[in-house]
Amino acid sequence: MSAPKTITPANARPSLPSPARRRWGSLLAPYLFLLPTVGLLCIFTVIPLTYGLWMSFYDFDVVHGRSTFVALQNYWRLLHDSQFGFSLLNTVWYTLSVVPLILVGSIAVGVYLKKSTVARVIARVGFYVPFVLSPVVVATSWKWLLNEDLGVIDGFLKWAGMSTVPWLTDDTAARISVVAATVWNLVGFYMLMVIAGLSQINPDLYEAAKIEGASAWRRLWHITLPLLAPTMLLIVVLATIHATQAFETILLLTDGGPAGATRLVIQNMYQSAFARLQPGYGVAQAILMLPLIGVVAWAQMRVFKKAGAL
Amino acid sequence: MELFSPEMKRLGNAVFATFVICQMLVTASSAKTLSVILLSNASTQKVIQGLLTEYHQQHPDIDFEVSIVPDSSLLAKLNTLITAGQFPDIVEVTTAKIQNYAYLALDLAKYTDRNEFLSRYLPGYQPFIVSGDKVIGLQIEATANGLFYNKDLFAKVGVTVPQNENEIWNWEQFKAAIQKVMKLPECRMGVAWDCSVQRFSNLIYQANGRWVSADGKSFLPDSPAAEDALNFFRGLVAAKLIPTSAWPGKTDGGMLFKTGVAAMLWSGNWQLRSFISGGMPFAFGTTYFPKGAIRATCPGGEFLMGFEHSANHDEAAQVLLWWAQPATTKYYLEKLGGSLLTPMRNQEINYGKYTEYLQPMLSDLAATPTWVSEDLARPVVNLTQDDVLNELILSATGRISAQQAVLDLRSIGTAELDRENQGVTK
Repeated sequence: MSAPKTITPANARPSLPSPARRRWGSLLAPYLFLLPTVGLLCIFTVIPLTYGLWMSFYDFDVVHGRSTFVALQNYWRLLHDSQFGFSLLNTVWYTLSVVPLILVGSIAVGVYLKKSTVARVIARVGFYVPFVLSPVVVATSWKWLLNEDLGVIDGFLKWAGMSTVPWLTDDTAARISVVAATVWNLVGFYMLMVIAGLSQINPDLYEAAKIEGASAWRRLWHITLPLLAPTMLLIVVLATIHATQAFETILLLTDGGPAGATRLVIQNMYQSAFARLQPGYGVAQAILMLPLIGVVAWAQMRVFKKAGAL
Repeated sequence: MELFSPEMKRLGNAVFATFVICQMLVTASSAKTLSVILLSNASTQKVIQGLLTEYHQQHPDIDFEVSIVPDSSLLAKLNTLITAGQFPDIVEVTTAKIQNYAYLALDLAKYTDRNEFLSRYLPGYQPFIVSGDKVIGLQIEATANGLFYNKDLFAKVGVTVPQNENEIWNWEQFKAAIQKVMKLPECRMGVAWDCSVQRFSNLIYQANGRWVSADGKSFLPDSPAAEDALNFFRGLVAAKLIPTSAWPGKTDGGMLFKTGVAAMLWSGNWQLRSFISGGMPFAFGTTYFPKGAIRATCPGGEFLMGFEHSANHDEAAQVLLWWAQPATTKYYLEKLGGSLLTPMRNQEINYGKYTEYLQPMLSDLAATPTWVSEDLARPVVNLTQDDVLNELILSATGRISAQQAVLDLRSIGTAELDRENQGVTK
């Protein structure tokens, strides 16, 4: 039988790490905390981006299972590709139409629905619902609304004795239609951001302005909008990104038609990579879009900074 | 007293455990799971999976892992897998896509007698599965483009559609007949015509033209034929006989026809299943395609193929050869209820309730020259589809002349042919 162990205080206390280990620990700790985020960023952003950049220097011939290093040839080809130029132009007008409309629409709806009455909460839900709908549902619904032969809107116009509008088959009308569908789809999401931004504004400012006799319009112009500027910047940046990434709804609504009138760069990329089986050329378009979007975001931030929003 | 000592028991347990582990390892190493990509199609995907299950029952060492993708996403999925070197073992593809992968395809001729294998299929379908000396897949079902008509509307206006091969309309008679039906107030559309290159191709072939020359070197070699087809089609659109929601609106022709306000539908036999099983609010029938310079329709279908570099290509080849047996093909088609055609020679299929509807389409198919399939099977026809469709829309809507459209189309096709021949983008 062995003698019972005596636990002394010295034995009970865990041994402390040496100063050198502590120093290493404190040096490593921040990096270890960063590791999950940086790791995810690397896996899902940096590595694909680098791989994409590498791909853009190659001509992948999927049909014959070979690839050829072509250096900057894909980019050179882009400069001479009228279809790419046209789709870039389409992306510009689409962005320039969608972003201001979303901004104005979301502020208007947000300001109107700011107060939490039952009716307004229901209305908020109504505006938000399109955002959670699948793009397929959105596009199909709009397609049947706007169908020239059997659509509800043209049916109503006919019933009212007016001439019908080729919503999806005329270049200009199709552009208007895709913008309308996009704004309807997204405005509810940005409305919530506006409502969150409005809740941060001190109500005393409105009280003081009212006492001073400021009209509702002046209160909106001089209090609401300036104090909402950071939210507006966020909306503009996010809506711009949304607009440059717009794909499914337009693909299903017009398939980029009629004759390419609503074809954006993202669809052009898709067609090059997956329909024409030229992934290198498709990726080159995406890489080219990267600095363009960067410049637009930078310009937006400059404008807001100048306006004192940042 | 115990029968075995503890040591004996332990030894026995160890031997048993080793046996079980070895068994599991042997099973795991011998059973192969083949990756299969099927097209999302409510009527066929379950039947195909059922046949794969039957194969598994006959060959327990072969199992299948099936993914189902919509046709529109197939190229994206397949190209991503190929680029990553993860070749699927078996893929279901449509007419337009099979030749894209000819170079990478598993050559079934290495596993069976090439000539005997090909002789099972009708000559009109062979070009889809042949690339040089290679047999790149097998056809599981055949399709043909066809002309549907609303019997009620035609009866009201007193127009009779061709009832046999001697009564077949020419293009102008076809146009005149639709114009007559369009005079009815309840007829709001003439021909619901799918907005696709393949559906337009019928006219090119009826004009005795082709997309690619027989030697594969030039695109749209016969300008007058192409211009005839473009002008005739432009005439139909300009006269509002083709609804703008279909051309250029790209609304599915089948959906428009189902509303009962379209006189005709220019589509394919695969529509029959939904028309008949789903029920139609009016009586409908099928008739012969009109003839231009010649009679022609676009043959097509669905195929199974494998890849040379897939992990289990030998096993995949055995599955494909099993499916290519006439008995399996017949079994598959009859399980589908008979709405799809057989691609095989001398094969009697019971088309059941679809028989009368398929008859004019089968006649059109029989009258179609073999070179039509060769032309449709060219990869360039599929790879340039998007750009070609844009040009067709520009021509159909009168924004460019037929002459200009031919020049533009030739430029698009020639660029792709150059790429195909050189393998490098210039």
